[in-house]
Amino acid sequence: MIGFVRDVFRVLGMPCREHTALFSKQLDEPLPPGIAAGLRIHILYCGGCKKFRAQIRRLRDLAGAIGQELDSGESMPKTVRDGVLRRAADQSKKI
Amino acid sequence: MTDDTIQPPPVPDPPVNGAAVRRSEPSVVPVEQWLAEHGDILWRFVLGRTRSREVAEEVVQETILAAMQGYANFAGRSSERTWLLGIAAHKIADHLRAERRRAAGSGAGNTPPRDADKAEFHAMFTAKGMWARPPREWGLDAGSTTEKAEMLAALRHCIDALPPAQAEAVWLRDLLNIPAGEVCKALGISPTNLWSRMHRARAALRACVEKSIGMRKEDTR
Repeated sequence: MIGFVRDVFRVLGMPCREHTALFSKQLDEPLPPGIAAGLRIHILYCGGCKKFRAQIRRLRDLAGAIGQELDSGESMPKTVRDGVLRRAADQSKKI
Repeated sequence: MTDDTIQPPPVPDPPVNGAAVRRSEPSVVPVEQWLAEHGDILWRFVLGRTRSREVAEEVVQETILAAMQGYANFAGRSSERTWLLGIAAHKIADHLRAERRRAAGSGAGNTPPRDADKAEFHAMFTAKGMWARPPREWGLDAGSTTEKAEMLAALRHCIDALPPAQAEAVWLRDLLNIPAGEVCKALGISPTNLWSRMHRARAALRACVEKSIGMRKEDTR
């Protein structure tokens, strides 16, 4: 509990530049509960950080949509596949 | 549970006829299996990054050759697919750096100055780290397919404009949705390094997309 409260106040005392780094990190891994709570409180009164957080989340979702398009993209052409196998065979001979 | 220690790069680009090559047993390197299971995603990834079929073909070949050489050291630290994509990411970054150097040398390119993204990011804040130029309201209709298409086009352009090391991290993490721990192993970087790259990249993408939108929209701030 003490750690939680300490983390909340630590976040509330940080400048916004550091909050932006935490918003990004939060997209990659869960933050400790006190840090996450501090960020939630901060965006209640900081419009700049609230927009930053929403916008990088939106861009991450759009990036995911671009990635999903890859699933239905072009298969590796046979010529490329054959070229890879040829060079792989050449390399094996050298070994 | 993965550990957070720094992993060595998975494929250290060994010499072509070096000892590491001789140690590995060529008959057990499953190149055909790699191509069958991961060939398509590898091709789409490399083609998406390089935007050139000729270059993509070369990069895919180099990726597989490097994977053959490094296979003895692979040891399953990440999934085979992530490992191959990580090697490809390094090869793509090497290629793009060389291409940008050539363009800069010939005066043909308009490569932004090194660390321009960092300078731009810091300009958004006061010396004390508070907002000097806070993000604008984008004022977009989230349900509009036209606006989504515009945003996607802007984002693609902005990702291409990122420094190669940031772009490779964004591709693996946000486009291909590979867990952060796996991306670290694939790129041979520490979690701290990945967070730093991702933060710089996301801040740069946000600013770049905002500029792109700003060309078409009124500032509603």
